[in-house]
Amino acid sequence: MLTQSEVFAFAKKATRGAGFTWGMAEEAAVATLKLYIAGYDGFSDLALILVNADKKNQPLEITDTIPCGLTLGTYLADLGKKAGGDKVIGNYIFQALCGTLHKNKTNFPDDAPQIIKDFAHRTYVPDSEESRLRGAG
Amino acid sequence: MIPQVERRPPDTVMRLSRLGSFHQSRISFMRVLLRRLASEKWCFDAPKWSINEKGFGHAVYTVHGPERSYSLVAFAHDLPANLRSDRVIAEAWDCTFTLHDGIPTELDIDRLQENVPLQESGRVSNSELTLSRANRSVRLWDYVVESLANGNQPDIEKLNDVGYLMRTTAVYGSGKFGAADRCDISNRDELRNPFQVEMLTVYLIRCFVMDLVEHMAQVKGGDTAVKLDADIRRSMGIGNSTGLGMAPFLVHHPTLLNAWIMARETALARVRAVTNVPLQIFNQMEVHLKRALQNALNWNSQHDIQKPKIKKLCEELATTLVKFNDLHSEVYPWDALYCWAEKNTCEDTQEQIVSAIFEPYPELVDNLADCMYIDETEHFKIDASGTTNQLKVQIEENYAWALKTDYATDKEQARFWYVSEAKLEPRLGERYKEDGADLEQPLAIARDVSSLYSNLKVDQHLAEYLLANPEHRHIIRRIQLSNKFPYSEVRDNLLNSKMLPIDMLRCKLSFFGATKFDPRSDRWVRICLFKNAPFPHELTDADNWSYGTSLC
Repeated sequence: MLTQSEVFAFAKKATRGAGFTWGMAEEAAVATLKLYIAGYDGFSDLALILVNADKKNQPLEITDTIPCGLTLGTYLADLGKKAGGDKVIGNYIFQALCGTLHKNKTNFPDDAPQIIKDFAHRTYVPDSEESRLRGAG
Repeated sequence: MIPQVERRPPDTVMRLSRLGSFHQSRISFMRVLLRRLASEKWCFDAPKWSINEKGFGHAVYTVHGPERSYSLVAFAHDLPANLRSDRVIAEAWDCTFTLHDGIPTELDIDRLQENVPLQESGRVSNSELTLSRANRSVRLWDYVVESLANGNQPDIEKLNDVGYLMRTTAVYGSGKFGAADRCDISNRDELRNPFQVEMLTVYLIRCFVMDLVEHMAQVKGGDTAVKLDADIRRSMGIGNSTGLGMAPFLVHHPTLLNAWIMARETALARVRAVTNVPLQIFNQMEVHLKRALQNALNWNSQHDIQKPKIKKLCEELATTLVKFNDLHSEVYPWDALYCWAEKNTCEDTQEQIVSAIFEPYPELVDNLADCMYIDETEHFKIDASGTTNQLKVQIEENYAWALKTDYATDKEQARFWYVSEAKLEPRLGERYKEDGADLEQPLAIARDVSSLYSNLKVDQHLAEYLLANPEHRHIIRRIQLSNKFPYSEVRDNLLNSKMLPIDMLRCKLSFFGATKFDPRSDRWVRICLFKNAPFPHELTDADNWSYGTSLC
């Protein structure tokens, strides 16, 4: 079973890997963790958002026909507004950001899905021998 | 209300060179732990010892607090010399450890046996609180085993050169590799203060290491073998090798950093306000300063930066002891001492004096350790109800230090922080010589504040600005925190070509309670933990062991 800090770290890195900014990645990580604590499959919902955003220019437009739930949800939360009946990509993340979640039994995943790992992997820099020797740790 | 002078301003305290000059003090986490173990009379079981005559096997050290028990499960391995490495890239160690939450069953031990020796490649459960490993100081280990086996005590001078028989190369906690999350245990009284499980792990590792060395001497020498002399035993700490992985912690946890520094600065402000100091306290303080000097004299480092720092510290502490005689006539003697130090000594000596003057004042200092925890999640949300002009004012008030730098020059952006693919560890790259700067981690605080500031041209609602400019979101969150948390930011450019990561390491390690800080490069250090600390049967309420008992 993944720990809370592992869920948070995977979600943050994957969101950044999909092209969102670090600040947005932090929002996504908090929302994903909130979903797992409330008993939802946070990574699956986050994956919808990341696939949609992949290779698009940031920031995404909230005026899209079906806007990104992370982008619109963060904006509404910033405005102090609650989610309405908006149709968005990644509705659970959207609800975690600015709506309401019914609390279910907390259910953490055994591992992160491959798609989340693949997005997260994009944030790592391959080691050069020079950096390994100099780096230490 | 406890009287206090004004706290030192963040512009003075939060510079890397000063943070990199901090020393352990009464509010260091290992001392907080040992005070609790003593005052609550924690009970230590005799170890469950399953180590064979070659020194391989496992042992369990259980300790009982008022509400819960914790057990160090230690595994001792056969490690070929060519595999012994302190680097995080190592894959085998002399000993591996975990701190189990409670008392492990045989099934737990079997499960841990399968995983703990693998460290990062294994997996523990939320019944475990830490994961750790250690390597022998080979030269000293063999020497001590040999001496004890022959019925002799080892030479204390020789031991003091190193200060430990084993050094840990990582102590993971807080949800790493399957271990319990910090939020699962922070509601326990005994674990609320930061890093208590990590400190308890290292304290019990020290017990195990000393038992193991005596066990090996017994196997080798039989009836001739002797146990280590109690004073020599106590003078041995546990070494620790720490690299870049720890450096970004202070930047990633701004509210926590503020809590630590605020506690330390408040302690200083309180002690500086003390008046009418009785002779007995003067005497205590003098003894402590002499011990601090002795500690500095025994502090070995071959590092080009550290060597002159230690030399200067020794000289200036000797001068401080002379100055000490003038303090009796002062109304506020510790304020006078601090002000004198600020004018006449280097930052290392100043910070040693800061820590030293806490010593005779447990009633003013110790309860501040309870303020060193904060629920960081409560401060996550950005308040986007204001305007960008308000944000601009906040930047001018709290980040003037960051706006002074021209980040267009190569030297100010010479480095970039990244996460390595091989070990998923933070590393520092050379921006203009290496690939990967496009994957930079958000640790360029000063540069990013400056970039945001120049981007704030038109006043607008902050929520609208954030929507259009999400690349500034992470830094706006920090800027808002700096309003409530004055010590939340390291006030230096972490990308500068001359920046020393070891300064961040020393700051954090001093809060652990580390001594003998010995940089091996600009980015990794060896230190000593629990040197001179009482063993479980020696614990008393007297928290006066930090620099030992010998005087210069």
